[in-house]
Amino acid sequence: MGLSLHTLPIKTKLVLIILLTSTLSLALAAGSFIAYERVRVKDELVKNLTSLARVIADRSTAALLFDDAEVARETLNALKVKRAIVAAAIYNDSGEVFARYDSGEERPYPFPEGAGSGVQVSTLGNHLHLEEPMVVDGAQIGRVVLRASLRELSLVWQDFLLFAGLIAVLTFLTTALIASRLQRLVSRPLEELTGIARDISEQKNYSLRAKRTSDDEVGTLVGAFNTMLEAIESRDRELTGANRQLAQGEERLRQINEELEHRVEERTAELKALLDTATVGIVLMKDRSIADCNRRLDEMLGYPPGDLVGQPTRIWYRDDADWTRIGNEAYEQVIWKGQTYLTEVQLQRRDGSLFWARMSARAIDPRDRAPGVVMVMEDISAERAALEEMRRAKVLAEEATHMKSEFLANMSHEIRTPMNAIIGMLYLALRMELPPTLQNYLSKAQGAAQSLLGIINDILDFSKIESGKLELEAVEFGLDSVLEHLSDAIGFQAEHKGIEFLIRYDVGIPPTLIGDPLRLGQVLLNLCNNAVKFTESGEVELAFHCLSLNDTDLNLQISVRDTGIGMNEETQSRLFEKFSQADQSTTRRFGGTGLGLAICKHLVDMMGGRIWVEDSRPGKGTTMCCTVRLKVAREALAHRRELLEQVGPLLKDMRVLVVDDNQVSREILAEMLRYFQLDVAVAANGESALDTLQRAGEQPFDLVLMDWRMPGMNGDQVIRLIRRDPVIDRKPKVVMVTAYGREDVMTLAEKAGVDGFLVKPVSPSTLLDAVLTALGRGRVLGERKPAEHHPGNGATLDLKGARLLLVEDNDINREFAVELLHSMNVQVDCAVNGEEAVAMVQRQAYAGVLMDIQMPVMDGLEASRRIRQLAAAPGGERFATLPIIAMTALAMARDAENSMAAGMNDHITKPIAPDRLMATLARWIQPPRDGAPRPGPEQGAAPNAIPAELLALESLQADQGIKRIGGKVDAYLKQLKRFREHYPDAARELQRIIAERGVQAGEEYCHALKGVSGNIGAGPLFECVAAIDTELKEGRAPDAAQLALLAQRLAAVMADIDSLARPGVGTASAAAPLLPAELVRRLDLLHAALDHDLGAAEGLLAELRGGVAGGPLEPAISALARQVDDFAIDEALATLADLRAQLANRP
Amino acid sequence: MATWPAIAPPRPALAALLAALLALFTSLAAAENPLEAKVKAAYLFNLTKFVDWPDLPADALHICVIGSDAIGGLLGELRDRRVKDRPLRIDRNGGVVPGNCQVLFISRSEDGWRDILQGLSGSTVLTVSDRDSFASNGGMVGFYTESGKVKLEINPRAARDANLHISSKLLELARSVP
Repeated sequence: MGLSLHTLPIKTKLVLIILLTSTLSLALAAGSFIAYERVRVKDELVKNLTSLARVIADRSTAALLFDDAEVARETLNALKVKRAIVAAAIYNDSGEVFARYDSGEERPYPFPEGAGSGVQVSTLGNHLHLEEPMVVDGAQIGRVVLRASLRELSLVWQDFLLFAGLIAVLTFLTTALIASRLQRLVSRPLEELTGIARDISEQKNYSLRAKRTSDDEVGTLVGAFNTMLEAIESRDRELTGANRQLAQGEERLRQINEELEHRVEERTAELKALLDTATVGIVLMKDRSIADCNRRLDEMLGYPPGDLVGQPTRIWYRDDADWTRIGNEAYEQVIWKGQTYLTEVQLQRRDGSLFWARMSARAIDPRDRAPGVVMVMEDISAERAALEEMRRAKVLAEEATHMKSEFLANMSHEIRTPMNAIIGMLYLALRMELPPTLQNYLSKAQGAAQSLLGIINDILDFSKIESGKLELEAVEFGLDSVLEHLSDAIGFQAEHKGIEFLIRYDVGIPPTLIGDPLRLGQVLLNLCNNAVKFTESGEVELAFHCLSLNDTDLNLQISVRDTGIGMNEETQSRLFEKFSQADQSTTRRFGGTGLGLAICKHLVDMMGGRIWVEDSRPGKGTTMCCTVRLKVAREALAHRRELLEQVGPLLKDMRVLVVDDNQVSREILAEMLRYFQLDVAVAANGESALDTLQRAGEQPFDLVLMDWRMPGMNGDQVIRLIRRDPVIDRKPKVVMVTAYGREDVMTLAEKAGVDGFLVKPVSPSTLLDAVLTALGRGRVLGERKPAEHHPGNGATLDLKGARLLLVEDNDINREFAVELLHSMNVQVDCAVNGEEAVAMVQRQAYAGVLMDIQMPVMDGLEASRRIRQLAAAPGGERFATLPIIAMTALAMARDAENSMAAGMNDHITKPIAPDRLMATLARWIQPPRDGAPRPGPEQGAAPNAIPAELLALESLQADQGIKRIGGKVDAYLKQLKRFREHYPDAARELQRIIAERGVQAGEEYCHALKGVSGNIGAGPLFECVAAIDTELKEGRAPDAAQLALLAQRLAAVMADIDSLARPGVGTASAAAPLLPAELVRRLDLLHAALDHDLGAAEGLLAELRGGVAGGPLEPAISALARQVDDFAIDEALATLADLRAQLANRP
Repeated sequence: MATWPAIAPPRPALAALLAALLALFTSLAAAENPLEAKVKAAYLFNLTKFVDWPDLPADALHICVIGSDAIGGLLGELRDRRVKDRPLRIDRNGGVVPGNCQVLFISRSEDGWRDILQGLSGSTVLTVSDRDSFASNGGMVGFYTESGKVKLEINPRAARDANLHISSKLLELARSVP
């Protein structure tokens, strides 16, 4: 149907649409109207009946109440007028029919007895029932029921339907008529258009046009149709023209093609020439066969031109293996992925000779394998040979460099050793009474030797810098100690030249820093040395200034100002270049290698700073500046504050007068004193000082800091005047400030009556110490630095009788610690590892435990944890409070934390400083109250005099080592001997352990070595071992250079120890005691030897020392040995005679 | 079920009663028997629904009965009913003050009825009696018996004179006199 509808002509469609629409709307309207009428008519009927029923109900109340059925019936009969009502009834209250009515149209309806349904309107079949209650005075007394026939209603509806149908038919017909007429308005123009279109498509005549008859959409369509026809017509014309042009173009194209082919031939020839002239072989390969190649390739492989084409590439490989390998490597992996395959391989010529070739191959089109692969082949035999040559040269060069540094290292040692001897001997010689000429010669020799040593040191440092081998340490140090060494070196020179050497502190500098004190000292020494060297009169001022400071970092500016010869700009510009000096004349006048400042520049660079000339003018003096970055030691700042808090109340508002003719020196002292919250006044000379003191009046001065050397009146004179002056009624305390090394001044001052001394340059700590001592305020600093002031006495008494457990695996360290503790009158038991320690603390109650950290079997941390765990067991309370002090060479904050975490109370770092140990023990150890009486502390603690031979050792700081072992020279020597036996070859041993047992084991070994070398005071060795230890801790094996350095320093220590082993200082416990007779015989022999043969004397002395070791004669023999070593032969002979007499007197 | 405003007790009983009553009326027309009294009492009560008093007192509606103790007794049982939204009050014989009544029933046995009527001149009292020709002789509503049934006769003029309005529905049932 849908199809047929589509094929219908438009006019039929239009008529159909109109008819359908109108019929539908009509049917809809009629339907709804009828439905509405039905409802309305019924409603009206109900309404009518209801009002009738109401009337009847109302009229019948009296009849019902007064029982008059007749009247009721009459009332009902009035219903006759309503034809629809076929029956009616009045019910009384009991549900009985009281009266009824029938229209007679239907058969009488049997009204049911009983109560009503309660429904007012109901439809029963074709009838409508209506019920109305009868109400009197608010009460129901009965009801009326009407029954109406609905037939009448049906009749009405029939009429309606009939009428509606009639109207529908009429409307349909009218609409059809009108629609068929009107549709032509639309369809006619369309039909015309269709006709034209059909004509055009049949005749292909695009000049036809449709006629436009209206201006509506159809009109527009006609217009558009005509426009389209015009467009088609013009396009048709153009197409014909284009076809003609196309034919001409084809002809032209053919000509161009011919031209191109010609050109390609030309280019190909050119390219061929190019390829043939290339110095590399170029080959096109397809399927691993040679498709084409240039002449060079033929030549390279030794084939006549063209012979290679068509051959497989196999012919230039040595064997199938190479061919297959390269095929596998090159094609799928590289070339067909569009990358260039590059390789070097040994190829074979036609004659069988081999050559190295570099091949580089690439696909022409990686997506298409057909065009093949292009390869460039180069003969690199010459290149290879050159490379090989270079490699050999490099190895040689490296060997040479290594040898050079080895040589330098050796030279360092080899040169220093005799230099030390020279300088030491000169020192000893100069102490003798000598003829003035000889004295002069020797002095000059000494000076020359010193500068030679300096030059050697500079050169060695510089070669280290050049080879990048110079490394900076990061250790804790105090600036004070650096300056102390500096003062020792510079102060004397300055004093000698009559120059004031001043140090201006910045009080903000933390007392403890982290950095390389030796190298910092070297920079300072160099700068100050230069300053002093180039200054004839006036002063040299070393000043420090904190550029920035926080909890961890310090940026320190150092400036050295002198009043010397100064420099011109040209000199300044070359100042920091190596081997440069102010000018040649300077070299002649002042000597020096010209390396010093270059080294300084390097060192300062390495310390994160820079160095420059701040100001210099010829004849006016120079100011050199540099900055260095240092770390601040943990808690250093806190400590400083603590110290200030302690000191503050002691010194607050004290009045101090600083008397110094040098303004800068005055300022420096005043500044420092003000920092300590003192009330400071200054005076430039003795007269004004006296004047100030006299005028002090109500506020007398508590203290005077008096420079000794002043124009007009020297310090001691002023002091005398002060003491005598009656106007100054409250005499201040006086501290004399003297330049370095003026013992004569001290004598003068003591005679004048001073309360203390200060040696210039003055550091804050020495100043504070001197002030407090003079004022009798106690020594606050003494508590901070017991090492300097309390060489292990005070607390010793307190510890008497205490019993400690020492846990230490290294026997040298153990011996050292035991000696030390014995010297403190402490009883010691030893355990060699943690496990033993845990067992021993349970067997005996100790006052405390000294615990090494790194030990075999069980380490100190674990042992401490175990001991603390014992506290949980019944009766184990003492283990909770047992003081455990870690002894560790680790010395890092982290390790301290670790040991605290393991339950230890405190820790001290190795190498163990006796004073530190003492202080720590005093803090934790409770001595037994009823301790058994013990020998007095003096006996053990009194330090023996340290022989000069020991002090002269280069590789060992014997004084430190001896101090650590409680001042006992013999114990120290024993320790050295033990070291000599245990670690003769430690460097190689370490290397072996690392190689065989790994870095961990190496670290343990190294750790022990570090502790021991620290304890014996082998400073340089300790530094070296510590560096290696740090590396090992981080899991890195030491490199050859480090090991070489270790071996070298170890060798130096061993050599030094060996030198001691010679008779004269040799080990005291070596031999069995000699009988008195033997002693006498040897003493006699020695007497002869001293007269004639000093060489033999050494052997004899060694025997003697061994023979009296531990005996009453030991000190005398030692003294004798020293005298001999000092070449004090006359004195030695006297001592010998005394000894001889003593022995003779003995029974 | 709504309350029955008439004298009748619950329906089945009343239905039976009425049936019996109607049957007996034919034979016992003349005599004042209990059934006749019951009908008359019911009628007296029902009359109040079709009459409008101009000055109905707010406290109660009084039905007074003079003579005929039977009717008085029966009405007395209805004492708790409400009429025209007021409580019903039944006054009997000695307790009757004629001027205070809304409905005054004078039994036919009372000979002094004329005096009573005269005394009530000008007051709004519906006078009722079962005496013959009561309505024709100055009364307002009379009960008479016809073919065994009690019927009403009404003197509309008398009622109008007493300023009472009797519903047309009642008038339609009754015989108007004179």
